[in-house]
Amino acid sequence: MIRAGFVGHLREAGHFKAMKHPRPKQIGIGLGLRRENIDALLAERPTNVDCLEIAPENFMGTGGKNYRKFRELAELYPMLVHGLTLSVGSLKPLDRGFLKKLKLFLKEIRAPWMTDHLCYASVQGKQFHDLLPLPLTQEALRHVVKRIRQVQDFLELPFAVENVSYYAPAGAGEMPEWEFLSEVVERAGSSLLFDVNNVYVNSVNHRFDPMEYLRHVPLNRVIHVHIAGHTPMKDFLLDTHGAEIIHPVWKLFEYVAKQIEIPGVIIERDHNVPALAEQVKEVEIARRIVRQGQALAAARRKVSTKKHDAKEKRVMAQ
Amino acid sequence: MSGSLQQAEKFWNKVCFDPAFKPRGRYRTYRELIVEGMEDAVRGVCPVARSILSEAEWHRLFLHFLKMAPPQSHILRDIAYEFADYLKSTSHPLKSKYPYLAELVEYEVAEIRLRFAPESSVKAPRGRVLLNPAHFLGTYRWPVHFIRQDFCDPKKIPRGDYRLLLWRDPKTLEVHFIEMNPLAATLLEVLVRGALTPRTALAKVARRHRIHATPEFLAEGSGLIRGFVEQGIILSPA
Repeated sequence: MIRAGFVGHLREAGHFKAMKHPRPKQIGIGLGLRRENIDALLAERPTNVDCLEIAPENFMGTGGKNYRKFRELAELYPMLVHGLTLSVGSLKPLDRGFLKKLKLFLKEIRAPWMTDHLCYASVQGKQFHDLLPLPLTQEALRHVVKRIRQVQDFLELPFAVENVSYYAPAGAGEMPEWEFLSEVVERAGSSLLFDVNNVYVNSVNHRFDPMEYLRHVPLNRVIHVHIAGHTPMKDFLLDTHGAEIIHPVWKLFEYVAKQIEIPGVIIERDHNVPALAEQVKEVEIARRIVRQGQALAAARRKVSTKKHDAKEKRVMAQ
Repeated sequence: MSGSLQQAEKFWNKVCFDPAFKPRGRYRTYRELIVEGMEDAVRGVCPVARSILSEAEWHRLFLHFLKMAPPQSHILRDIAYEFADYLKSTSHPLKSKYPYLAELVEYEVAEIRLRFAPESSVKAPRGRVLLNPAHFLGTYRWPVHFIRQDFCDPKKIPRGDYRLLLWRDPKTLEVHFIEMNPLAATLLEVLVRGALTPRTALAKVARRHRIHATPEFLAEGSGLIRGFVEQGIILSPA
C-alpha cells in the first residue's frame, strides 16, 4: 500500500511526468445539453451560459432533427465533450474503430479537449451503459495509466478523466480513492475532470472527509469541473443528477475555485430537469463562486508580489 | 471478490449480465440501475411491443437477451437494434405466445433508425430518379403497423404479405410509413439498386410482373413516381 502523502511529496519535488498538452484556455461555465433543454437553449440562447457539454455517443454518426439542433447550438456555444463508454479500466483492448470516429467528431466540432470516466463502462467486451468502479490497486493503476496514455496519444487532444461516484467497491482496495486518482493522472500525464458532487456522494457512502480528498488531489491538473445534485436513499446517496445542488457540494466547488482557474465548469442535470431559467440560476451561482475565488487568488498574488518586492529592496540595500 | 482486474471484470459481468447470479446490498442496486437503464432505452424505441407484453414477461425476455446477446455497441440507442436482432434468432418461449414480436420490434426499431440516420448529400443525376437513402422496406407476415395493445391476439390478426415502406422526409426530417401494393413495392425495389430514368424503372417493374409496359401503364406509373417525389420517397433532380 502506498502511504498517504506520498503523491504530494513527489509532486513538490517535481518528479512527475508533465501534462502532455498545455493547459487549455478558459471556456467558461455552462450546462449539459439534454433532450429536455435543447429547444429552450435554441429559442432563448442565454448569454450567461458560456458553453455546453455533450456525450459524443449521442451525436457521432447520426442525423435528424436533434442532430441539426445540436449543430446549430455548436455554432453558438463551445461544446465540451464528455464520453461515457471509453471504459479505460477494461482489459479488452481499446476499440480503435470507435476512437477513430470519435477523433473525427472532436475535430468537426472543434472540441478543446476530451473527457471520460475513470471506471468500467464495459466488461469482457459487453457494454452495460453505466459506470462501475475499478479496484483501487496497483495493478489497476498500471493498467489504466497505460490505457489513458493510449487514448490521449491517439486523440491528440488534452484528455481528462473523471472521478466517478460509486456505491460498492470492486474488491479490496490497496489505497484511498483520492490517492488512486492522483496517481493515475500524474503518471498518465493527463488532465482531470473533477466532479465535486461525486466526491461528496462518495464521502457519505464510504465515510471519509471530502476536504481530505480535495487537499490531496492535484487540482493543478483540473481542466473541467462537474457540479450536480444527488438523491438520498435509505442508507446511501444515489448520484442521480436529478436534484438541486446542495450547499456542501457548493462548498467543495468553492474550495476548488479558490485554488485554481478552471477552464470549464458544467452544471449537470439528467433527471427532473427544470426550466432553463432554473438551470441558468445554478450557472450564475457557480459564476459568483468562481469570481470570488479569482478575486481571492488575485489578492493572494498581490500580497506575494508585495512581499517579493520588499525582499528585493532589502537585498538591494545590503 | 478479490481485487484483481480479472476478478473484478468477472464479478461485474455477473452483476450486469447473469440472471442466475443474485447480487446483494448495493451490488443489487447496481444490477437494478444497469438493467433498468438498458431496458428504458429499448422501451423508448419499442413502446408498442412493450405495452403488449406484461411487465414480468418483458423483464424475463430482456434478461434473456442480456445473457444471450449482450450489447456490443457504444451507442445506447443501438441496444434496441441489438434487441431486434436477438429476437429474430432466439427461440425464447414468448415468441410462441407473441409470434409477431420479432417483426413488430423490427418495424418499431426501423422508425428510430431512420429518425437518427445521418443525412445524405446524394442527389439524383439529371433525367433519373433515386430512392431516398433514408428509407426502410420491410416485408411482414403480420400487419405490424396495426398491432397494438387492443389488437394483439394472434388468433384474431390476419396474416398475409404486408410490404411497408418507412422513410424520412428530407425536408421536415419526419419519419412516415406507407403500406405498398406489389407494383409500388417493386418500383422501389428496382430503385434500391441505383438511379434510373422513370421509363427504365417502370419497364423493369413491368418485366418483373410479366405485364406489358403499355402507354396507360407508363402514364399511371409516372403519376406514382411524381407522387413519391412529392412525398420525399423518391428524389429527382431539382
